[in-house]
Amino acid sequence: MMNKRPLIQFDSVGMYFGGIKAVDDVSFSVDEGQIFGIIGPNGAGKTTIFNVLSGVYVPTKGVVYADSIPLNNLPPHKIIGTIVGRTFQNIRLFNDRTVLDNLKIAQYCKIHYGLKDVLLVTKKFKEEEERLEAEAMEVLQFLELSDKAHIIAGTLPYGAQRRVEIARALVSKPKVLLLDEPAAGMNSNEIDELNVFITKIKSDFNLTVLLVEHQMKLVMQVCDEILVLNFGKKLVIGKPEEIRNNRQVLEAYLGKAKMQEGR
Amino acid sequence: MKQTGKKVLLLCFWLLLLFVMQQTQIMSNTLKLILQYIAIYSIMVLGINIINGYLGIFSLAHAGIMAIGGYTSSLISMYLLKAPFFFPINLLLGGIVGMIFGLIVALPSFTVKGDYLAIITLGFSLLVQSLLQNIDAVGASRGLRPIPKNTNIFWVGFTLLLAIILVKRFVNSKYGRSLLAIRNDPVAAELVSVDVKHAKLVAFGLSSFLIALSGGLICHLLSYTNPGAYGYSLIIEGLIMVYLGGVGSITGSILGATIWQILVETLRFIGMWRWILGAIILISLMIFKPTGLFGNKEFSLQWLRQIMRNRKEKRAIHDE
Amino acid sequence: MSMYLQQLINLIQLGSIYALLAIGFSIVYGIARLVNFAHGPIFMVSTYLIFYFATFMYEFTANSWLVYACSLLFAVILTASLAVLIEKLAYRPLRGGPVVALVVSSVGVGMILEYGVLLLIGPVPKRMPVLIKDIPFMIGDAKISLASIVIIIVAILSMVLLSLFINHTRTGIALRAVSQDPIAASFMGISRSFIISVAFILGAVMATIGASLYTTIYFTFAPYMGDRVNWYSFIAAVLGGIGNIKGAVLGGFVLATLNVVGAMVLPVSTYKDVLVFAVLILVLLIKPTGLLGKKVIEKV
Repeated sequence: MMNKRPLIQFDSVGMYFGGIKAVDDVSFSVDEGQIFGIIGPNGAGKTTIFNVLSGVYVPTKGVVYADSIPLNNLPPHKIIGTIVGRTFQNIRLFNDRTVLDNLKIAQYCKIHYGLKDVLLVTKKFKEEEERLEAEAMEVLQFLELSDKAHIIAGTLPYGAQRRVEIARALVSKPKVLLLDEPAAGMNSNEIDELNVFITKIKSDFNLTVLLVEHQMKLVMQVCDEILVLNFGKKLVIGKPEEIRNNRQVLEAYLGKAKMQEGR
Repeated sequence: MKQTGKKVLLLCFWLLLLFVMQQTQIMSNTLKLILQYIAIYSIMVLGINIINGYLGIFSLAHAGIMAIGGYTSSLISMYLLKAPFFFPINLLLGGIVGMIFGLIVALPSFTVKGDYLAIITLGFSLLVQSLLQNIDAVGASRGLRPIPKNTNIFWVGFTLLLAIILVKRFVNSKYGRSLLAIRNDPVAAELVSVDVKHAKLVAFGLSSFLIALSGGLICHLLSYTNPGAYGYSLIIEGLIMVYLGGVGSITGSILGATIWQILVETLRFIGMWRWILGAIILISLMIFKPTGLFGNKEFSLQWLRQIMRNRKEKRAIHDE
Repeated sequence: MSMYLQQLINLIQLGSIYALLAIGFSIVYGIARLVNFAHGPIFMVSTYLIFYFATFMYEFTANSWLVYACSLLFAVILTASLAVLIEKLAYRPLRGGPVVALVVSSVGVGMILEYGVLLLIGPVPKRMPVLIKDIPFMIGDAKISLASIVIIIVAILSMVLLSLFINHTRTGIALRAVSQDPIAASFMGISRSFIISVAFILGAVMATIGASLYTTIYFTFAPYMGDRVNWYSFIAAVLGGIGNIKGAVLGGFVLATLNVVGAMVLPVSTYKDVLVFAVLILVLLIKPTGLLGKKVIEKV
């Protein structure tokens, strides 16, 4: 049995934009190897959590730890690629670049040559370029995208683009993968496939996964633990069975009135 | 190893060719002059294209950087390292000083948005021109003369080759790739581990280095320079050459410089009307092909083969 | 004391002119999202139009007010038409394409205007006939000119009329709607093309009025003046926040203050340029969208 330690820790984190408290005093921790879901009605602060984790926002209050390192003052490019990899709600691939290029770009932080090596085409340059191409192709192979390596990303169908985005997030070998609504627009069958997919890449790439999602089917099936947010505040945290029938959660989604007239 | 051997051979051939062109009377002086203009502006456009093309930032700072490079190397040639022997060093020094200023110009690009940035870079060029016009120590509006005529086809050709090699290597590295990513989606770039600030600094550094070199070369060609040469006309000419030849393309940079310089030479008789022509070309380009003739593409044997293949296919479909 | 009063009047006078120039530029930017490099050259063309009509009218009458009013009207109509024509030919075809294309096209248009006038009329600077009679009068020790007061009044009046138009007419409100959210505005049945034309017309009107006032202070003008005007309009608009009329006014006065104070304090004119540029950078470092500009939080 692996000794599970908290890989991600939110300590009373608050994210305020002027008068708006997007995230208010939220604390939770995610153990290594977990698949952790974050759910809540629209505007609850889910994507804000991701943005804080990626360094896009600096928390107004509290501290965020990843692998025991406080992230508060780190710029995004230092967090991404070392600790975290993420996908986006609206796919943000580099549309005019090939799939392989998209991955190579994401390896920026893992490339250890400088301008001197580039201009003089040193051995280091050649070795690093070979290495990153090999690693990128390896990831593409894992995700069954090898045949699409040289296709312009923007021309791919939606499903393939989603996989490319995940490949891109994984190529820098992060410890944590943030998936922002990966099931958006999927039908029930596709969600089942996604479930298997997430579990597979988690073990193949040795990841801890955080998942923001609206599709309850996926969340309940794949997550080990779920955080429910409402109006930026932590509502409840627990295992899927606990969350599924939790009164407060249902109220948050459906509204008090509906609750009273419904069940 | 065979690849390297071929490249070394091509390099030697190129240098030999330049040497022959320089030392003998094979080419007329006018032709030599035009070729030098083309080469010098090609170097400048290669520099501009790194920022305006690959990085996708609309920058108008190239006039100011060219002025800095030109004036620096000229002043060194005139007062410090006067012997022609020092010419490449003077050029290099001009390039380095230009590069330093280019790094300064990069700083606003970290926080300021596109339209505002365009105006700041315009301000930079105008400011440099204004300063040069008013500082007596560098000749004020009279300019600098005589600058030793050290530029010749050999140095120009050599520098051009160097510029092409540097840019090619830069583009095919993590730096070049990151610029294209930043151009596409700067936020996403940052969120896939690209150090955007660093990448921009490197880009501006290389870009201004090349532009400053071109400034040095042209000053030592004309033997004279003055602040008036680094104003709106130069800014606009730079834009015309970049957008004509093609953004984000080495071939495009050289092509744009070539076409425009040939136009300027052959249409010398229409005098100032060439600006009207240039403006019409610019507007038409924007309407019909805003990325330029060779936008984001490069000329290569593969490209040529692909074009032939496409044409064959088209003909085949037609014949059916 | 009197010198300060004179400088103050200078400052207000210059500030109001810069404000007019910046407003014209800002309106076009706010509606068409275009840094219009043709703004200065259009200003320059309107100057020439005023010149020719005024010179012509002076052969028939000696009443400077009448000449001013008529040549202004004439120039406004022609300049506005020119602006609308430019928009239809050089900008509209580019809508929906890369943003850079618009700016580059405007550079081209500016060039055509500038070199066109240069080649057709000649580079020799011309002198504008008197449009606003200058009657100096004394307040204590200070020599104030009536022209300055008129300039300030005309400028303020223009801004007031513009404000009334934008806030109290249907077209004006539509203009504000498009500036805030063009897509939503189109859902309300507002024709974007029409509003863009209106924006260019307003820009041209402001530029023409500004031209008449500008030449009352600086009598001579030449084809190259468009570049200088562009630069002043850009700085003033950017300082205050592009696309924002209040910002344009603020920026105009800040620029005028820097110019007047700079001229008094600094030895050489160049250092004035350095001062202005330095202030511009400083402001943008602290507030990257300008003094009154709105912060745009990018959604990730």
